[in-house]
Amino acid sequence: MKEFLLCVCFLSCLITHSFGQQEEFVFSGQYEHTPFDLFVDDIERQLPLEFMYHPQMIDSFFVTAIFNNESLERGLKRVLSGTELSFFISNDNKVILTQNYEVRTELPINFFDRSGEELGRSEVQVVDFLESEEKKTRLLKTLENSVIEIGNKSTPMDGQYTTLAGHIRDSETGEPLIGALIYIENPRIGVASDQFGYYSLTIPNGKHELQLRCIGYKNTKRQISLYSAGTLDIDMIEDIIPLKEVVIESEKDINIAGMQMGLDKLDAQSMKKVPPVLGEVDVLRIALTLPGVQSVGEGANGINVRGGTADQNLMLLNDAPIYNPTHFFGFFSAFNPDVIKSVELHKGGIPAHYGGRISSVFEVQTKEGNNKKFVGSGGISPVTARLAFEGPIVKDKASYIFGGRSSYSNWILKQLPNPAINNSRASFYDLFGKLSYEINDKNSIFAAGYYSDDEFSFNSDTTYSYANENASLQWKHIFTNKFYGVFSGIYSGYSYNVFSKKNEVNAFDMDYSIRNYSGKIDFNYFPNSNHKIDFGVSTIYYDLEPGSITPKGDISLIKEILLEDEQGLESAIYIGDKYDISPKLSIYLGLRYSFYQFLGPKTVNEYAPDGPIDESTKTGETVYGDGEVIDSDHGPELRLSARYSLNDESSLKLSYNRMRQYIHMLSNTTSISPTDIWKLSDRYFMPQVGDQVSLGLYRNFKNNTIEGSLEGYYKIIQNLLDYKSGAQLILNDQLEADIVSGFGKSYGIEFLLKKKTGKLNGWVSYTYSRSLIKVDGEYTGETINDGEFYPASYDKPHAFNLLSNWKFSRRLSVSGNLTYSTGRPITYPVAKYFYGNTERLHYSERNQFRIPDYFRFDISVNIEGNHKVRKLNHSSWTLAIYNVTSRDNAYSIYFVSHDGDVKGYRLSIFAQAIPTITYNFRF
Amino acid sequence: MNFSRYILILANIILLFTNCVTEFDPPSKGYENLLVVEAFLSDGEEPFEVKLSRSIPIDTSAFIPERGASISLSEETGEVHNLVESLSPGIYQFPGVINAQIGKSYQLHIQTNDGNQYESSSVTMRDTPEIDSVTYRYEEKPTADLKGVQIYVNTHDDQNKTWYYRWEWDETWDFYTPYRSDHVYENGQILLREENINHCWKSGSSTSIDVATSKNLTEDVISKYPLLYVSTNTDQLGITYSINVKQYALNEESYNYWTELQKVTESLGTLFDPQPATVLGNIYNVNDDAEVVLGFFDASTVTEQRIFIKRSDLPPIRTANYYSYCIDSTVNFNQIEEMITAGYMLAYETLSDFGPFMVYVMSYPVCIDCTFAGTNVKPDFWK
Repeated sequence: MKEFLLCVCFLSCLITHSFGQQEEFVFSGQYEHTPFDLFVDDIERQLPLEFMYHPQMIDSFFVTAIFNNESLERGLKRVLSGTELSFFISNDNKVILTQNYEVRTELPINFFDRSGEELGRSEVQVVDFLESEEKKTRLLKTLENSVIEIGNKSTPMDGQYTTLAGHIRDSETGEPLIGALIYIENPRIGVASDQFGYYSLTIPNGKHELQLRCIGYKNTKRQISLYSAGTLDIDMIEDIIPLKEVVIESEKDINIAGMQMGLDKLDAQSMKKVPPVLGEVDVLRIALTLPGVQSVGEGANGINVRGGTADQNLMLLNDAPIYNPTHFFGFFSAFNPDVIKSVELHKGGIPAHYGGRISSVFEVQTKEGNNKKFVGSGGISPVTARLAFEGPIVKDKASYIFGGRSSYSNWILKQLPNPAINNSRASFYDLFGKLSYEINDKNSIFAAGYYSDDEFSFNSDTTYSYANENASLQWKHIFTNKFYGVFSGIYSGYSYNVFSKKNEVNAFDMDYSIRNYSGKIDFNYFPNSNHKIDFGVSTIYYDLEPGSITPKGDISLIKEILLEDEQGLESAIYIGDKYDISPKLSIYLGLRYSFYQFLGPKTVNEYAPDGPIDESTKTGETVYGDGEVIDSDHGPELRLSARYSLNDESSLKLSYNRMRQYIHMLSNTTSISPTDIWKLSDRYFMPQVGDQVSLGLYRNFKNNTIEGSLEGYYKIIQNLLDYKSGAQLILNDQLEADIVSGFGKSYGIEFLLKKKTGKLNGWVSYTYSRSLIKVDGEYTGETINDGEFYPASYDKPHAFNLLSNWKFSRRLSVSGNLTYSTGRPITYPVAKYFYGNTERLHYSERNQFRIPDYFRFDISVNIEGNHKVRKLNHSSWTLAIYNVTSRDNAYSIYFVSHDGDVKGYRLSIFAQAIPTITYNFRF
Repeated sequence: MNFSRYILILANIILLFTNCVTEFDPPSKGYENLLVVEAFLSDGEEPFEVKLSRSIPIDTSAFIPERGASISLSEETGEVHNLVESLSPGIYQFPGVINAQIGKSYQLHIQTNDGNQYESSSVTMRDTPEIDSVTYRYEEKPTADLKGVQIYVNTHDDQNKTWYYRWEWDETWDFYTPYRSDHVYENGQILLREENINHCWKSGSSTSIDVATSKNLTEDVISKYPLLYVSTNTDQLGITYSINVKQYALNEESYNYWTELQKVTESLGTLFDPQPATVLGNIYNVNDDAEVVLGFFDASTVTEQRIFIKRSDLPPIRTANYYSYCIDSTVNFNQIEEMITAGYMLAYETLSDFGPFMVYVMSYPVCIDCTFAGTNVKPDFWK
């Protein structure tokens, strides 16, 4: 192999001509299943040429073609297309056939440079997509087989451990790849790139073959001679499966070899395969197809992860928390799909650098701007129009990406003949922008901003609006190859406003807002090949305006209420070490210690000790001054995981984590309503604490093309919030009198089988889980269901999901999504009685009955435009049918006394099949 | 003011487009047999009455009275009034006048036939301010495709001490059948009809809970509380419509009781439903805290106001015609018997258009006799 390579290099030095200068040879002939050597003999008879090749190369290679005065170059291209063979016609009329490599007349590529530019140049004549793919592949082969020398050559290669670091990026866009695995086989040492695409690999110096794996990208490798510490940036090529080829990718064994469990990762491509609802690609809905993720019902706001409530998910967009991740009362997620790169959902085994919520981390990573050229994308669906564009500010150094999305439902509402509807407003939009600047090899800066806005009014009466706003600034500094740090400043805000002016006497304006300012420093340290250490500090300052109402207009008699602001400081330090004890055993030891302080100024209600807390037991108030610590809490949060490889195809993983949560959402409705508020922990609101253990068996099948996992978990939650009957949560300065503290327990087993590549791909999951709550207070009104465990509203023991995508051709693919789950529990009336001329119902035990099981099947067809690379824009159409079977799934079953009689009703959200069409484009 | 209520309305925008509500007959599950107590004390002349019944499975509808109980009302002074079971089962009355007074406290005591003892909290009689006005406005409700009259209540308390209000109403309207009946056919003879069976009155009363608070305002004022909507889809606005509104002063506890009852029995069916829960009143089993007793004992004075709405006060409207199917037949005297056998009724005798003889206009009884649908006794208050 090596000799051959040298030979090629040698040849390339001798050759001075290139294709363009070649004198024109033409030939004719008709061949049917002719062995290649006979075909060559025939040409040699016609033309003054001599072919040179190794007989092995053309073994069992037959030619079937007709040539009619065709140029030799074109003819050979035709014959050799689709083979690994390339040819070159030399000065002295020799036709040299090479295998795998294209003989190039250009200077060897500087491998330390990014290969993207090279690719760009070689693409100039490319018209056809497939051809360009082939060129890329050929170039890649060259890259893969050339030896790259790293470090100071005077350093002896003595097997000393040396650190190699760098970035792994997309070859086309320059975007960093997260979670790409880079490793050597012998000894088996590997790491995954972090969220900046950065890796640091400590391996013995010497010659190595670096292997690279990343989902959605072609496997690649690099030959290196590592002398001393150095950097190597590597580009990976996006995996686009050509028309006639089925690529079986091997060794996609990240889930076996990686530490993580309870982690689901969705990239932008797999999200597009999920049939959209109302034409919108929605990450939250897609998350619901993953095992262990539930919601109260269709269109309900919020997700419930492994038995946690919706406020126990840390929703992050570029490290900034999002308080209300939905538009339109929860029907659509607030994330524009065009700017999302990937979504990670941590359900268990949560690393130490995350904290603040006890059930899960839902992290949305946005794209970084393309730092090579200007590109854009957008789309039109029945609900929204969206546009995103990105490009370089300074080529390869600085880039931007902006995305926006807006509903045009107001316009639709106005078109409707019904005056109540066309006097109504319902609209939303969101904007996102991010700037990335790579100052030099050591320093990069990222700035991102996000704003989302919703507004509704019904028949010109009450207007309701809410907004999320986020901004983050991050500086990444690489101290050494083994050590880098990220310094972040983050702002997040959420606010809502309700106003009404229909009745002048009652006209009001009501506001709520939460703001947090946080700073954090995260370090990553790779001392040697066996350890990967991260540590850091973070602090969040919360400023809540828990509600105000003011009269609107002069006539209004509304009593002004301004609830006092709340302030809190949540800080944490953490350290985590991923330690590879042996190739078979890795452990992760993490410790996070969080501190929380509830700060003044604030007036705190005092209650008689040893008694119930309610309005009648209030004894007085204590006034705390500015910055005074009213209440504080702190505690360790242990995070442990271990992975033991049973063999190359399977591993066993175990994890335990404890999480603490100091900010809580108060909601006493089944689904989260937009007027629900967040409350900081204080003397009466204890921090929620969650503990989870999970055990998983991971096994890959069929050369790692199919990933299987079986994971079980058991989780307990302390200080879960519940509410007394009739609790008023809005504009209440005595909230502590309306809450009770509960205990949550959930357990389950999740089975997942995933096929990521091939014509047929997708995943199938089944989950058995229970989520139970117990509220057993000391005093009357503080006990639910006699203090026994009862199922949470999102407790759906059996859940099955099948998501599959079938690629008929490169232009046509069909996706199907099948969902089944047990119906959610509801509180059902146990008796009826007559009271005041009317039948009324009596409810007792909470959540003791269930609505009918849920079943839905969606289908979508994705049609791509043609694949000419040089087209002005690329477009695709998505035709989707949501709920194909028109099954009338119950969202709830409820009862209403009307005209004296009780009637039972069943509410469905999408009872019919909903077809939609979406147009997407790229330019 | 209930903010979540606004949200519920807004959420309905979505539901207008997407949702689907189907009615169904709910099966009974986990039936609980509970005591239901309905008791309200006012200062009026009307006898103090307590209604006792049992809760029933939700798929049944029979009223099950609780009979044979002994009930008494005690005053803070120690005076006890014993009630007796009336002829209607489950209804217990005080045979005299209690002469309840504002500011005094009253407590209800019940011993059921099975020996269980129940007591209400001690309730202080409240003074209810006068209703300022009952107003109405012609409004169209396009969402529901309705036209009609929205009725509002306005009230206030000068002394700023009421803050919580509840209303009940009784409505009455008159109507005519298409055929007046001047004559009656009796034993082969035509006699003049003395009774008017052409003009009648129908009535109804509130079945939903109407409560409001001014607690969030700087003054104890209720402005334009929307009490009910009278639609043109009925015959109510056909001629004259009258509504009598009764106002009750509540306190915070009773207000919470009624709003909770309203929440779990009238306002469900949205995306943001509250968890339905037991609505606890103020009546308890003396020996068993855990036993749930349904109902709330309350005491206050009652104020009333009545208004009349004439069709001529409204913009031109079209109300429902319940007699569109009515036809008449004009027959000769000897055909009357035959027609009666066929289910007809005599309306009146009249001179024939074709000659000097009498003919008889007949129609279906319901098209002539309005007492099938209402009462022909003119209410006392009718102007």
